[in-house]
Amino acid sequence: MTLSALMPVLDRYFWLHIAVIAALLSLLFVLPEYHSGIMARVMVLVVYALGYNLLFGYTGLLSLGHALYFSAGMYGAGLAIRWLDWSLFPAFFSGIVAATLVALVIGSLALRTIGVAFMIVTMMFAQTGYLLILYFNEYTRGDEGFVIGQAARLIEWGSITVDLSAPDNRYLAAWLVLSLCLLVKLILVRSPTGRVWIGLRENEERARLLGFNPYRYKLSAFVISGIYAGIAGALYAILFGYAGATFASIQYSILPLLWVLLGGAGVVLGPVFGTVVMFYLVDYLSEQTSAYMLFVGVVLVVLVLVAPRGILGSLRRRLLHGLP
Amino acid sequence: MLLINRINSFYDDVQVLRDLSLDVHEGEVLCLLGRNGAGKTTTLKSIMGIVPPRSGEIMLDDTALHLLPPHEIAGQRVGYVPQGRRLFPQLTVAENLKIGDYARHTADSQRERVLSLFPVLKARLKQKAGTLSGGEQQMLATGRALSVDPVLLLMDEPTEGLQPSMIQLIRDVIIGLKKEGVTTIVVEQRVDAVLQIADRVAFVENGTVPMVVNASELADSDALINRYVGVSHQPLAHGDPPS
Repeated sequence: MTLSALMPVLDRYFWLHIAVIAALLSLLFVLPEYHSGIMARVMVLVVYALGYNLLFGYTGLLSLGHALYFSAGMYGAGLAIRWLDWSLFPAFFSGIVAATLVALVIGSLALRTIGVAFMIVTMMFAQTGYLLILYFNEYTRGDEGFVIGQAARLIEWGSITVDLSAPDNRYLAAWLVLSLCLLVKLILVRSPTGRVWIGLRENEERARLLGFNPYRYKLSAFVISGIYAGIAGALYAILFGYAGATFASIQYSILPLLWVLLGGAGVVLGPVFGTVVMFYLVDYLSEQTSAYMLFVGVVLVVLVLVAPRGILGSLRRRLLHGLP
Repeated sequence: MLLINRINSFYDDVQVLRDLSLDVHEGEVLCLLGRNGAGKTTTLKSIMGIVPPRSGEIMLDDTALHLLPPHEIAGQRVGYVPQGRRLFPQLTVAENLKIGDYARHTADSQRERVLSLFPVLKARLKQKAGTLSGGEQQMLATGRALSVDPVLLLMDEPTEGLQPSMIQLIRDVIIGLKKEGVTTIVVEQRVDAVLQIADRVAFVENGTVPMVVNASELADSDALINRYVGVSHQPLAHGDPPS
């Protein structure tokens, strides 16, 4: 893409995204350590939700199996470190490649179905992945998972060494990856391909009759969404030093759907707000009561009633009409 | 230009088109006229591959359209304006027009051409398509079909539900496109509209085309209209000026 092709993107909404990125960075300097630790984790999960939003919010495909690509990234990186003694960057990229390949294969099969069948097929593949992780527990340590040592989480560049297990470095690494992913997503959804994704979501037949091959465009959205999940999974393993089967369970396929719905499907920044709100809601309520999920449910129902398009989706409808 | 040779099309087990044949000449406006359920819309859908024929062939010059999936048929520069418009409501007017350029993978935009045909859309470029009036939506749907720079344009009841001034505008556009050499097939229920724009009229009855006549012959033949449409030739509606 040429620079001139990017120029129209540099409007006030582009700067709004830059402002959000800057605000996330500034939080590092104002938040107490406990909360900056939480925010580092949240930012990694936001990357996951950003990718999910590409598929669900922009292309209109509801997958219930994205934990598979998250865990492919996580185990792709984690196993490379644990069993092959790969250093940080090769391991990180092996996680991304693993997620990409899995998304490509599963997407090319699952996209032959539509609607409820698509949801079920994606979920079944994800459950298969989850069971495979448990089955090969000799390598994956199954449900228990495995820890990635501090030595494997160092970036060494000449005489400079950066320890990603240190809270501030972890925060900065999560912020950097999130920022890049956010900007790439913004460019993607405003690109011709992004417009076609929206066209498919709104009227697949019309898009086809204009000459677009729906399968090809859906597959591109599926794979890019899987790459985002893989980046998040690999990053999670490296920054938090752990890979476990829990992240491959159905719960981690449903969570990004909730984050996206809460923040605003089809809004680039939606998952940022959705994930933060949801994470802190659970964090706060779980301190107050053991029945916190009941209250989380009530709050979510109220939010959906008040803002059915999600937080930013409703805001876009009322105030920010051109928000991408 | 377009040769339809004995196609048979079905919705599941229900046969709609029966050995339908039609020869469309280059640069003409051909109207499909017939009663509801006769197979007019299905004929267009079969050409576009939405309801692919189970037998027979559809040739656009040397290209066998019946062997292609719908997106490749559109790639042969066949534009389609469906009944009910069907825009991308969450995309702006500009984006709805731009998306045709993406399909052709070209920077050679048809936008200016469309905006010169429908100047009203100029003021609406940043507006979401779903918020346009019915007439504006029809203009945009027609404009978007033009954005693929069609050599063959299929329009399914383009004047349905529009106010008289809009109907006249759409007719003028069809006549204008004819002057540019675009071949157009229009499904139309209104005989007066057919008489204004058509070179020839193909009657559709029970999934086949029993007769094709010159539009000028139709004007003098209430018997034909009675037989295939079920109504006599009515004068133009109130406030509906002739072209």
